[in-house]
Amino acid sequence: MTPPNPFETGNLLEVAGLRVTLGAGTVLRGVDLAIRPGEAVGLVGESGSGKSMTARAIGRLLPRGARSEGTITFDGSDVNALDTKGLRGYRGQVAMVFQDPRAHVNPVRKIGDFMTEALRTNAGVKKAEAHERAADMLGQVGLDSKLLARYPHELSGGMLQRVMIATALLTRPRLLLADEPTTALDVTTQAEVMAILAELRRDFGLALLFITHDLELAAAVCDRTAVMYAGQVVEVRDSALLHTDPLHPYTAALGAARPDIGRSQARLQAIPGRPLSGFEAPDTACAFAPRCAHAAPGCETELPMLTELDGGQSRCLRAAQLRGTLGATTDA
Amino acid sequence: MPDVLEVENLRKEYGDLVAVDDVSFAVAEGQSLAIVGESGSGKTTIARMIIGLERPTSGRISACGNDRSAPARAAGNRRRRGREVQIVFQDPYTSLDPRHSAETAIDEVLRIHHGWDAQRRRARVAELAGLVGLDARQRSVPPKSLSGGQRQRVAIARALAAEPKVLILDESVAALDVSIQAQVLNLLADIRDATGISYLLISHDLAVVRQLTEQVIVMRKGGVVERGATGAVLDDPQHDYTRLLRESVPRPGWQPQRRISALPVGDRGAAPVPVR
Amino acid sequence: MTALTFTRARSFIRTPGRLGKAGTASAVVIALAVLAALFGPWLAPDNPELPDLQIAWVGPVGGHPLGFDFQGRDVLSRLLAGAQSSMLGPLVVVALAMAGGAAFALIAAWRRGATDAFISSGMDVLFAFPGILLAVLATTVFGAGLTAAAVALSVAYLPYVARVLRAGALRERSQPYVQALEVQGASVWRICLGHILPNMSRMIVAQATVLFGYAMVDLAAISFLGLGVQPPAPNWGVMISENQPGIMQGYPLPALSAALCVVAVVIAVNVLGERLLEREEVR
Repeated sequence: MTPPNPFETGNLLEVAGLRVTLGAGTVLRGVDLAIRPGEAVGLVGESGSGKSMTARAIGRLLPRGARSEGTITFDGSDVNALDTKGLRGYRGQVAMVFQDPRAHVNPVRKIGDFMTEALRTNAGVKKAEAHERAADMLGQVGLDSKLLARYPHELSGGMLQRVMIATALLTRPRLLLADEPTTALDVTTQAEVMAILAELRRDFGLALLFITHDLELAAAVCDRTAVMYAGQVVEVRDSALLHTDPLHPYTAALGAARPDIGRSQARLQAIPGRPLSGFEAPDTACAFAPRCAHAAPGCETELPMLTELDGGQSRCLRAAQLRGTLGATTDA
Repeated sequence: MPDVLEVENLRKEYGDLVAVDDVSFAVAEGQSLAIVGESGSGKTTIARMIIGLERPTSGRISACGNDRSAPARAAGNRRRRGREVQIVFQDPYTSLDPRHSAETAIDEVLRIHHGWDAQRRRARVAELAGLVGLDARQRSVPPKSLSGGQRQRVAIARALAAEPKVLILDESVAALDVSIQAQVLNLLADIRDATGISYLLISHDLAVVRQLTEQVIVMRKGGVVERGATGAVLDDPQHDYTRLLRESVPRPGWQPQRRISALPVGDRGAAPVPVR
Repeated sequence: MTALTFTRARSFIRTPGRLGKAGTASAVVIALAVLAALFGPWLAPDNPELPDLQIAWVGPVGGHPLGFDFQGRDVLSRLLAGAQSSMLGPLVVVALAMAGGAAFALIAAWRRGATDAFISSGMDVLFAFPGILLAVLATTVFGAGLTAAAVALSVAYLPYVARVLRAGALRERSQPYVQALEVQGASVWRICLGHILPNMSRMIVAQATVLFGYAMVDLAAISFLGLGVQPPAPNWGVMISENQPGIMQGYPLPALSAALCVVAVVIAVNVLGERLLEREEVR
């Protein structure tokens, strides 16, 4: 386990004022995020919220034609200003895992080849040693080293996703960007993968940005959770307080809309309308106002900024007024 | 209350693999039953056998008192069966003909089942579209202009056009955003109140199952491991596997556990819990 | 989750809805050819079939921009009059081959299993026969002429069409929307003709345009061999054949102008077909 650096007082990753445009439309309209070393931060949102695009921006994997403004700082350096050499080093420190493992692996190459490729080509590690490291990492995620000789199609989705996680960790990254890593998996497999991630985080001091549409999952697994809507971060909160004391009406509505495994309700508290994407959101009003149960006339004329509140952040004009009333204990 | 759907000793084999192993259950009129399981449990295969897209190896299926243990080939038989049981698939992006608007799709179903004139069909199309909450624009555009939630509404309206007694929902809300999922679940409840239809819900999502059904059967690797009233099974699971499923649902204070340190190749990631 | 794809390739495709320069030019060429096919005999300034050996091989003069052929007939008139048989033949071939190929493809894809295996094997047998060979056989049996040659060619092309369309039909067949219709009790006809086939329209247009090109060239070759359209009836393939000696003697214009007509129409049909597909793709 890497000992904590006494000079490291700041954040490992800082995203400030991130805006991304794609063609004529804006996908991300203002993302502010900070991750401390070893911390797990959840990023929750529905379709069009921009959560995947945020991860790609951080990983410098934006699609061609996308332009970004704002700053992304990793360990003090500006990520977008990195040259080729710096970028290679960055990729060793920040690894990414995606939702569908089969789409990111070459079906005609063996698992062992896939896992050791980056080590052999970028870090110049000899083949035998690279395979040894891969075998060791497979063991960490609970897989037999015999899998190195297998092909992707011989593995189930859950096993392949564990291989992806193991591969991502081979370069000993300090931050793992996980974009819906368990969405395509069975719920029991998801639990196993989350357990493995938690263990690895403890063992390697790994920070995690966990992107998902599942508010409960993020809140259960991450120290802090950020909620996105229409290309912006609308709330950042300690996970423990997310359900009982959310700071933004959207977070509260999202939590309330989910069916409850403990009881059947006569009617679910559905949010009227449909989720807005960054492309459609207005620049001079709150994007959520038309669907918000707490909207006031001022919400349609002023663009709310992300402001600090009670240890968290909220992008709601009425956040201070609504404090304490949005929690799950309140029946609408 | 008579049973609208009866399944007895249903079995499906693919060569050596037993996908469905001696499954029996019944759905009473106006009631809803959920089949819960993970991948490889056989739940989707059961749905496909009931709807006639797969042929059972053995066993009996009957709906509304009519036997349907083997798939129907002739259009006449398929038509008749279509008025008993219908299905809404999981993927909203491939379950609609990309060239047809909602109106055209619903109208086609009406033409298949009834000999009505154009005016009467138009009225019924409007009624069904209104029932599922599609406005005038959404009814008349091709599916690519609609969101996933709107497409599922079209799929539901199209299924209801046949006026079935049983509607199979094969993970029909799994691909939807949380806020949209809530709208569609409310819609399904409203439809049930209005028409007395029964739902057979195939799902892995226990909260959705709790919300929508009164009875549940839990399946693993082709067999039923537990059955009973939804509330009872979820609040107080008797079988190890049901408990495992329940424990795997994220909630505040959740501590996911590693079940086993290394799984041999070939075992498709399943838990080492006895089947029965 | 909406996938935001943004490929650079888009910049190579014309603006959606437009045909572009090449597409428009192709459309014009085809329109002219169709006009010639419909009204050629009336548009021709001279009698296309009346020989006048005294003016054989005479080059372009006033009123006769392409000169005269080996029998002293006005080349331009013969081209215009010949457009009909030159265009009609390939059209018939394409229509028959596409209809037959689609029918077999749908039956094989719908029934699958033994029926599919049987049809596929039958197609494999047909693959063994080259088009020209079948056309020669047909003309020996039924006598020389466009009809026999066109039917023979369509039989030869059928397996190619069937193979490609079968793949598309199988893909559509297994889509949930088709299964939903099956479950509704829709008849096989309704599903195949009303849903599967229309959703294969891209594939069908692509096949048809490519086939037209091949058919035109093959029919021209068959007429060249003397097995298709019989002289003195005007036909571009026949014109290439009968005026071929002129190329070596220093009078290339009649043969080459006929060849140019064939090439122009084939290219135009292929380019237009591609543009139409791109348009539908962008939509």
